[in-house]
Amino acid sequence: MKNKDILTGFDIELDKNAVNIGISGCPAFLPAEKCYWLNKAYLQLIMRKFTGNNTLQAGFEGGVKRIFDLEKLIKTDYSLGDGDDLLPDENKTLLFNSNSNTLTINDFTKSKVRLLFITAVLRFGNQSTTISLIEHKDADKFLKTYNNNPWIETPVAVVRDNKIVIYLDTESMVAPYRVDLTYVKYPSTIDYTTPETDIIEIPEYMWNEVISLATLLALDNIESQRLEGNSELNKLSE
Amino acid sequence: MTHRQLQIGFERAAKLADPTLEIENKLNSDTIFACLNIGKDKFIKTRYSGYNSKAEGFEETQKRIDDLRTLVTIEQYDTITDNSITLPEDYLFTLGETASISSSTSPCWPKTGDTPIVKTTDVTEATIENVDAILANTLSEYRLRLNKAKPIRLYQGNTIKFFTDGNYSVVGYKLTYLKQPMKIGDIATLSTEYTDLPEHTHQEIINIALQYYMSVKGTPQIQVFANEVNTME
Repeated sequence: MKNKDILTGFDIELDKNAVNIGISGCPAFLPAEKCYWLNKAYLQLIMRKFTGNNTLQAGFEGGVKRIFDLEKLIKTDYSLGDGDDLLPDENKTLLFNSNSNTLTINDFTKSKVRLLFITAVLRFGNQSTTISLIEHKDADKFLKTYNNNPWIETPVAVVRDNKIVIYLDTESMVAPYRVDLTYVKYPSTIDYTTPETDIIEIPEYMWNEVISLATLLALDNIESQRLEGNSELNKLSE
Repeated sequence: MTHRQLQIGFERAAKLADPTLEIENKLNSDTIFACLNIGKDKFIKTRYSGYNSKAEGFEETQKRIDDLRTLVTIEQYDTITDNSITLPEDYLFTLGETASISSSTSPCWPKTGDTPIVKTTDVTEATIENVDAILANTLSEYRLRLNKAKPIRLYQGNTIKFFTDGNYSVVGYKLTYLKQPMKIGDIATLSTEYTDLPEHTHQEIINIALQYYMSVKGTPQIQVFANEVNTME
């Protein structure tokens, strides 16, 4: 759907609802304000559908609809680490700590390109293995220390400081390493200054859900008993 | 198996028995190697002594020979100082021994030219308790008679002491013993092959180690590994 169509949809829904806004019922929002509500709703809806904090209580891949809701936002960056050899450490995409057994993916979000980690595959030699996220309190058990040289059947990872730190088995997984990273892409921004831009990263039907939610958020903000309404909405914001 | 494969063998089986060992309660490698080394020591001792499910000690069957054959070591002492020798650092259990004796004082002792010959002989085993009784026994085999004698051998600390009747001396000693195998995991590169015990014993050691771990943890799976240990040979 194009930006202008999204904004039109917002106007229609808000106008129908906003009987108390302005003299003629005309929405009193500036274009930038409309975009604010739409972008907020867009991001919130993606989060809800991913985490399962929604009416159906179904997260990503929790059902066919959930898959198709988000599938175009799921991206994979292949062979992270290619070309790193010529770069200084601070500019490398993948940094292996030879004193330990950690491999770090630097700049996970890549300046608002990647939103959420889904999975990753570690490649070494001609082989590959999956990487799964674990909690920090468990991660230390996978760290190579003076008294621990762990066997790690499949690498594990934690996310911190915009980095993904992967713990791998240096005995069986030998450098050079490459990583294929699968993630939820950061959604495009709805921008009233580019009305003809077509945003096709979610299905057409989902735009109606975004517009409805944006309207709800906007109306709640200006019309309802805010404390009560916002607190209910905030419950759904993750 | 390599040291790492022994570690993997232990951890994989432990994880199957207790899935929380996968991540939340993952064991560190030192703990695993400690269990494996306990299992290894237990394996050697029970196979040596016969205190095992088949009640067979070392060299009683071919299986028992093969269990420990790589640990059998021979140390030859060509110089005996103060009638004693020091045990090797990796000494574990004695399997056999031969003493070399010679006499420069006995007029009947055979010679090659002017040089007295060296004879090999068994030893008279003594303990701290009975050594004096043997020394006082005029008919004991340690006394030189008809150019034959078995010197008294006594273990004391890390040394072996020899006693003769003064008419001959111990000039050499060959000790056949079971050596202490190297520790599992006590190595810089875990991908090194563990060769101190034969390949067929490795899984048995893992199972004994698991049996020990399960008994310490008090988990019900201990019976499974106890059965494994008893039935796998």
